[in-house]
Amino acid sequence: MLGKAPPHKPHAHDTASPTSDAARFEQFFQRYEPQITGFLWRMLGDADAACDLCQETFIRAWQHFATVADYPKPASWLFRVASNLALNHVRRPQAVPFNEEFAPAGSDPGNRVVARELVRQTLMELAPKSRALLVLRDVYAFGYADIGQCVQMTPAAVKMAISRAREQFRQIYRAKDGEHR
Amino acid sequence: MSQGVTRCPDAMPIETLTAWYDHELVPDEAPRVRDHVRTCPACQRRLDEYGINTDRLRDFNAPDLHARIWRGVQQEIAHGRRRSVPRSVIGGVGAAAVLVALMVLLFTQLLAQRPGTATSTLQPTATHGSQPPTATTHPTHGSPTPTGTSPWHTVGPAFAQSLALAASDPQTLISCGFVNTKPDQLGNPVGALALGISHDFG
Repeated sequence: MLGKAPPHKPHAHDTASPTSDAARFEQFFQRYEPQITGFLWRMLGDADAACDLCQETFIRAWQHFATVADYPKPASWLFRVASNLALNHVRRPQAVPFNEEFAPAGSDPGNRVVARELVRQTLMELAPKSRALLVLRDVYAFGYADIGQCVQMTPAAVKMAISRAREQFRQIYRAKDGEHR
Repeated sequence: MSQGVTRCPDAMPIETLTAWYDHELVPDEAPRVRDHVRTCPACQRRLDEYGINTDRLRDFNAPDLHARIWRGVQQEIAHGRRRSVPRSVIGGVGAAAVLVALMVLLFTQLLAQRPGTATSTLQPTATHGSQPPTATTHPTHGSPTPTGTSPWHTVGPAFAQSLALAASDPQTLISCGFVNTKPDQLGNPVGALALGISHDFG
């Protein structure tokens, strides 16, 4: 199913082989893919782009799997790669229509779709880096130091930037919500 | 822009309030902010609003793309191929490769200025015409005797192979430059082609 794995330094307790590497990678994917997809979805607001970049993130993870799998926090590495890919992607401005096909059904689907669209529009109006910081903090509860490593900023700069991003989100959302009512 | 939120009478900085919300305040500062927030309706309202927005962001779930992504990853890996490389990357790598080639050429020319002293593994066909290439070695290393007037220095095969591999990897950036060109003790021109090879993991 999977190709030959990159060289893997075995632990004392496991036997390195392409099969075991493939199995380990599949477990790794199962564990972290929802987080990375969720992050990219919030960064891009577009399912197709999120899918492509998530796929790219995990292909890179596979290429460096022998190293990445042994990191104490592999999620940090994945988020770092995904952040870089997403920030590069959004440098090319593009209007992304909201795809209701992907909106989850709820008890009040109409309101839910509108609320989700408001969140999406608000996120898309933030600067890409602000968006990344806010999502990493509010959704994935990363500490300022970890966020700084993801986006190459100092914790002090992250603190300032998150403060601004949170205020911007609050103000933009309020304005949009007011327009909608 | 601060509709519905009364200004804090103590002018609590937003960065401090945000750090409090994120549990990132330094221990010395936390008690002071905690005491303030308890008694400041403006800050309480703002924190409440932050909380609601955090919930909104968390509820903005991604669609279920799991199977689609896994299928794509499997296909890419099984075929052992990379995704298409953006043109800008191809252009960058191409430019780096051309630059390296030019520097190597310049380097060989520089060394060729002193005839009969260079080790050669490649012979310029233009100077030898139809004659078969002649192997030459450095005179200090013994016979055979140097031939021709324009011997070429080349990089070793292992180095050349490494360079070619690096140049073909779109995630690798190659930079190069000359350092310290001066004659050695025997009067041979000595130059070092400094190569920097960096790899982008993300």
